Amino acid sequence: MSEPITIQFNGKTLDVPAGTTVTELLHQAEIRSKLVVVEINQEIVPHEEHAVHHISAGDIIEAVTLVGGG
Amino acid sequence: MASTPNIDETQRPIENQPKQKSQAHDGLTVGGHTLASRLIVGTGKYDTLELMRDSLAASGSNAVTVAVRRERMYDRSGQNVLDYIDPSKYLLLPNTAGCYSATDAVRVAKLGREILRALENPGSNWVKLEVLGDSKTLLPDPVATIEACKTLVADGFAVLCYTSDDPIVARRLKEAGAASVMPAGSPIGSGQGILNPNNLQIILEYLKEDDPEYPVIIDAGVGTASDVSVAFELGADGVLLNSAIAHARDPIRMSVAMKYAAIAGREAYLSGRIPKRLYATASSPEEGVITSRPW
Repeated sequence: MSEPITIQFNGKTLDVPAGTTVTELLHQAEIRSKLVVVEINQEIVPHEEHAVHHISAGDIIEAVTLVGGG
Repeated sequence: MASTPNIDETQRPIENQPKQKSQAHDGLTVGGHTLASRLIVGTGKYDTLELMRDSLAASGSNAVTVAVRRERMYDRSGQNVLDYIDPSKYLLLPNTAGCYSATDAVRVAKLGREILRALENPGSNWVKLEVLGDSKTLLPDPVATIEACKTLVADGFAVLCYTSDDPIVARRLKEAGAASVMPAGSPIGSGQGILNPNNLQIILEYLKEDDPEYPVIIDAGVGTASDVSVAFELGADGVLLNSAIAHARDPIRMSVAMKYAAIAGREAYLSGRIPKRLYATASSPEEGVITSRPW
């Protein structure tokens, strides 16, 4: 098991194993990846890159979706 | 013969006639999309997502607004609004609601675009831009709105721009490349209807002067069906509303009312209303009356 790294995910501090991908992070958080867009340090990570994008220590990650609005 | 009184120029009737004859039941063309219904409805504030789904259907609308927010984590039962909106029936129009700076609005617009791109929704290049200046009034920040509009247009967005009913700001937004300028009838969610029809008329005149097809959509403030009719009678191309339906006692029924109000107002506008006059004009012929008059 690799050393855990600390990240900010949707406003919460979280420890995840080093080398975790975006896909793995979403899966772990029980988020349906098709319905969200992921932003790391204010840069969008396109869906196509979720499986290969590895999370780094200190990353500030947002997974946002669409909700009811006017 | 009835004499026409001399009308002071300042007293002249306000003209409110279509510049060009259009076809009845014509669609709303905005941001590269043609929508059969001229109503754009919001998806917020409903008690349940089922009620939202049925209200959207009853409104006859083809485009619905959605907001961009954090996804809930570890919530398997969590329903998503997207589970209740059939993407083959509706274009999704993401908004930047809740943004108080141009930077935030641009960021949120890009997030919304990426979600729609992944969903393969054809609305992915458009956005309802909303940059607020104040949380109490929810009035737009005109300077930040213009700035964000320019940035988004340069990035390839079709920007549908929420603004106040200020004609000068409206003109600036059109110059900034907005696909549609969307003045508020009254503050968001206030249900006060159209408070300043004169300003809206000036906006319509300014923006359509050399460009009659330029879409102007009344966004926000609608309280009931007659407000929608008034907007269309003024010459608006579309109306965007949410609270008036979602918070009505019976949202589905109110959706039906809004649908017909839009058709009624648009048809009345295209029909060309009679001018308002101070005195009566008899509908029955003057000629051949068998009675006498007291005056």
